[in-house]
Amino acid sequence: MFDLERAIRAWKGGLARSQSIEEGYIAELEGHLRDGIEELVGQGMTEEEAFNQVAARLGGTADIGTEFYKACTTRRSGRPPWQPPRFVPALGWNYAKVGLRNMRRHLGYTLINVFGLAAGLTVFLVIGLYVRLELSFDRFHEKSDRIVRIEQIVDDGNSRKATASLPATVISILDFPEIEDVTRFCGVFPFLLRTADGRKLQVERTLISDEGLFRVFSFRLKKGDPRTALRAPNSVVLTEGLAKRFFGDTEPLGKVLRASNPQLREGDQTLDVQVTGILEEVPADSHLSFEMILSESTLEDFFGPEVFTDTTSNFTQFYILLRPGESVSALDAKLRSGLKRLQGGQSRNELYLRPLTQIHLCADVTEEIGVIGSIKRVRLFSIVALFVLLIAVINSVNLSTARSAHRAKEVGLRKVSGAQRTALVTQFLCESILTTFVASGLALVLMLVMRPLFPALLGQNLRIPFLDEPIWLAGIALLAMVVAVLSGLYPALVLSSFHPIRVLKGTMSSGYRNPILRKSLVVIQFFISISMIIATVVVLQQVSYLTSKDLGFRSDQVITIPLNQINAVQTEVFRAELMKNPHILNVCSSDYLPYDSINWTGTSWEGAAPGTEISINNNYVDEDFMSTYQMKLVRGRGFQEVSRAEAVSAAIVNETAAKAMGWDEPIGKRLYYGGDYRSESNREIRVVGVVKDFHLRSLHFAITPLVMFLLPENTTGSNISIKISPEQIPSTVAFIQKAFRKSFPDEAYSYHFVNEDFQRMYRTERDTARGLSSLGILAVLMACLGLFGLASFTMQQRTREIGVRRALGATALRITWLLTGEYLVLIAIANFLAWPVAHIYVSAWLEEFPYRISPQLWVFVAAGLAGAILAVGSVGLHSIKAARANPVDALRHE
Amino acid sequence: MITRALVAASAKPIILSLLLSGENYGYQILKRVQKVSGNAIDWSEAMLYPVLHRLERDGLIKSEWRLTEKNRMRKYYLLTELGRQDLETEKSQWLCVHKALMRLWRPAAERE
Repeated sequence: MFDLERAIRAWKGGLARSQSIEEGYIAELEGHLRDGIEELVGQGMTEEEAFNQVAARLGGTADIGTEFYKACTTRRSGRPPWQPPRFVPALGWNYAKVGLRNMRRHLGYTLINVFGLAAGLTVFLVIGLYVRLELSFDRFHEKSDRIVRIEQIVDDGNSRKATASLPATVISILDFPEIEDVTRFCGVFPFLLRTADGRKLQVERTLISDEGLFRVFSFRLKKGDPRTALRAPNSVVLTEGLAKRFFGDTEPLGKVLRASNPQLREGDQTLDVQVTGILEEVPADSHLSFEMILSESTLEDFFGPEVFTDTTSNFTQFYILLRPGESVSALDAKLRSGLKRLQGGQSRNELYLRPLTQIHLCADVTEEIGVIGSIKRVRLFSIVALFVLLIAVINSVNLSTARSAHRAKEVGLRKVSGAQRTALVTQFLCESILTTFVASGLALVLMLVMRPLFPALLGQNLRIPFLDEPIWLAGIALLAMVVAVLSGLYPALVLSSFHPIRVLKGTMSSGYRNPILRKSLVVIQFFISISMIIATVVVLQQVSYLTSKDLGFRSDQVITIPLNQINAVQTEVFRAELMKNPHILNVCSSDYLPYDSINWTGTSWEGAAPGTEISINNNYVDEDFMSTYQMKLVRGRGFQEVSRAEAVSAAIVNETAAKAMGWDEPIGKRLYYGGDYRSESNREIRVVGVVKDFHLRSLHFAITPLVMFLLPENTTGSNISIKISPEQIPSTVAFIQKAFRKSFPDEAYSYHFVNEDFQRMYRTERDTARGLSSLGILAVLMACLGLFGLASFTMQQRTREIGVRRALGATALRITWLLTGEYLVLIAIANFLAWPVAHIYVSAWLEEFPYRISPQLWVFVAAGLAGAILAVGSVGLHSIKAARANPVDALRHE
Repeated sequence: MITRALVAASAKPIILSLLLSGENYGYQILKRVQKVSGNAIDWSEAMLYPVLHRLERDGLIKSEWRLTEKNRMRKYYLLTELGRQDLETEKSQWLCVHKALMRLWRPAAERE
């Protein structure tokens, strides 16, 4: 129950403590207080509310006291003499001296703290730069916010394509007012180029595009006219570096190069191209990456003029520049209906517009020509970087508070000499700011030293901006301040709260204050560490699963060679040459490699309801394809057992296709095939065999229906696969190269081991795994280091306790257990928290793979045990030392 | 809102003018100032009492403790002769400033 008289008495007691308020003043103020309460109570307030309101209006004792003092003093600052000044500049030197002395006296602690913070800051800054680079992709184009790409949602199992099945001229046909400009790309191709004096150079990335490129994007020409450089057929624009490689210091403009194009197989085999422009190097943060641009009009020479009006061609990428203020979604809808109109409702594909700035991180399309990152990895790494920094900050907080006992006397003495709490907080915060700035400097050095490791850890080379970007340095300073306040504020508050009398009497065990907070922080550290261990192991397991899963065919010791110019006679010569070598076991030719099959056609089948179609993957192979890759025929015959007459209509389907068509007995069934890249007309096809399912693409994609045809007589596919024996691989590879040169004198020779291709397919996952494991190890190390430092301080504080226990007969083992067990409980709690969280996270990550491992219990247990073992290792050393010490020494202590 | 500087400068003439109409005590002074200014001037207690004490020390006002009808002690302040004279000087000064400002703020045509 509220007692007004008592409250007023207490209030007056408070006022009486102020040195500037006299007896009479208090009586006057009391009268005022009572008048106010009376009035408010008269208005219907309770006494308690009224008292609180009026007392609050009157202000705190210190405020009233200062005002009263001000009114009767001539001092300019108005600060009463009994109030110490907020800052005494003369003490600055003393602060610095004491701070440095403390750092030196506890050198181990200082090193752990500085290096921990430096490591945390380094990780944070590096990941920060990485994230900045990834997020800034393509923003260097002046009109980047108005550029969109047309993508196609293909009816083949919901995949998206970067290319659109549109005639190249569609945009001009549709003529939307929203569109300001448009540019097209007809893929990225490798070209073999020869200079007039016979030097050869392979250019891996050549874009085929039109002059709109320079209107839409901000790629700049150093030489040449952007308006005309890509207009005429057979014009090329080279990057500066490439031009230098070809022509050295001579003027490149107007020079002629002979180009042989590998994949555009119809049409001329070589063409002479003229250099019409020199381009500045393509920035690293451009998703379009190329060394050369060939004018699009050149394609007419290959394919004839209908190439730009054909509605079934689908190799063109469209980038549209919207007019200012036009919305993407409105155009999106319009474009869709426009497409339907154009194709007479035949196509079941849908169009979709993707803003340029989202392509790098979010595009999940096939037939991508750009450099593609992963928004998931960006998110994952950002979180992890924050975690690592958090661990460093927690280390700092824990160590500072734990060793506060060592500074209690200093605090006591400063308070006795008149230091205010704010002054002490400032002092300790300044120390922590100093430490953090030293750590930031170290972090910058570490970044420079670690720079060569970035590509391996992040899959990306990073530029470290220094003086050229003042904002970056300011950012680091700001980050250091934030970290300093985070890691220094709590210790500063704890230290400055010590009561001087108790501290100086020595009756306070100051180091043991608030162990709950310190323990929770340790739990957080190990929660993070254990989750990261689990995530790392699961990612590694999935990567190893991806690279080792039975794909349905054997890929070891298979070499593939892409053919640039298709010539059946030469291929036959090559094959015959190869088969002379006993180490070459098998040779086959196919249009697509079994794991990179990307051609689709709508197909109906015998027994299907009228109008039903499925999208089926198709590939032309020769008789030896299945034996080279050791695929299993589960029913019927292989192509080797098919007569030439029968071969025209023979097909082998996979199990998924047979199932999709609902056939119990597929052999002899007919397919009504809509025509593909080799045969225009509708064909009727009979199934002769069923192949066991194998993976058509990387394990990111599910197995889809497939049909394989026999390559027509006297033709060959665009890839040759060679199975060699595991012995003497180097000499066999050399033999293959020699045979190739002999059979195809004009071809550029390049080969791949299929297994290497597989490694490449899972690059993103492996990069993620590598980055994650490095960061995970670092996080665990830092957490252990922190624990090590923390334990050493707590042990010191418990020296006497341990001495007494020993004197009373406790064994060393028992005491070690007592000291370590405390931390094991914390690790157990951390595990308890980390397991479900990590499970949710890794399950979500795995969800995106159609073929995946399931997270196993042992991984979680092992991660937990690893955490426990590391923790015991960090703490145990101190525990054993403390437990084995002679109790007499401990008890004589102090 | 009135700035701190103006509040400090105007406190003395306002208090003296208020006491011209008769003796008064702290709480009432505060309320009267609020009312007269239409709540535009809201002094804090921590400022009012020190000012009253200073005016008393300067001899412009004097104070008396009296017993209220509810048997409580209350300190009343009343104007002294010195205070009355001081108020006259204050008044002429404030009017002087007031006049100058009013003239400046009048539309240009009237000013001539």
